[in-house]
Amino acid sequence: MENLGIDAKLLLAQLINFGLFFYIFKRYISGPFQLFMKNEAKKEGEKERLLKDAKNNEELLAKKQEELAENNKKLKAEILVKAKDEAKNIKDQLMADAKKEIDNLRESAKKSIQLEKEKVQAEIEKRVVELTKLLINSTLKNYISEDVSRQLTESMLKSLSKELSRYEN
Amino acid sequence: MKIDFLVSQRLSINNQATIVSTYPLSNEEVIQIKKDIPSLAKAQITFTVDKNILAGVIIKIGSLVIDKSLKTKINKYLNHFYGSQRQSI
Repeated sequence: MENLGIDAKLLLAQLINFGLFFYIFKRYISGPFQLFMKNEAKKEGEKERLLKDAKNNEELLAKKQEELAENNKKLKAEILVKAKDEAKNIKDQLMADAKKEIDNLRESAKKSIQLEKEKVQAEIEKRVVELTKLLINSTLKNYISEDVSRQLTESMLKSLSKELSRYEN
Repeated sequence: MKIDFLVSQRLSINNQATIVSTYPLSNEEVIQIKKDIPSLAKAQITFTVDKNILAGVIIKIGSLVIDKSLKTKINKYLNHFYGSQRQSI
């Protein structure tokens, strides 16, 4: 070995140095670095996964928002239809009430007019009767002479007992 | 209720009666009235002439009035006639 120019001790020392260097490098530099790299890769993976999740969530949210918007639209349409129906019902009810009230008023007015008519008719009849009485009485008063009156009275007195008995019954 | 009983009741309060006619009644006519209503025989009767009753007599004893005048008869007929006419309408 010495003939080859290789110092065995030096070689051994260098081998030991290398061994030490390898061990120290492996233990304190390469190991932590690899661990760091591994962690970073893991974090990256996690980040990607989270990103993917977030994207999925975002899509889900968008989809849900879309569904919600669709539902809102449907609900609005339903509410609108319902409100229209209700408004129509209320309108119909109001119309029916108004018609009923008008009918009642018309009926009441008709009755009132009829009553008034009957009242006026009765009043006219009453006046006609009074006037007729007055006319007949005044005419008869002028035309019935005392003799006629006497004859009538006599005749009435003759039938007085008969009339009184009728009155008694 | 008998008219004579009613008349006697009224006369027991005030023994006065009034007979209205279109002319002064004769004795025969008064007797005829008293015959028909015997309670009037003892009553103090006032005779009144009123041509407006046309014919017949009205006998008033207090609040009781026996109206047998032509005027009332005509009025009753007229009332009856118009009353039945009203009902037929």
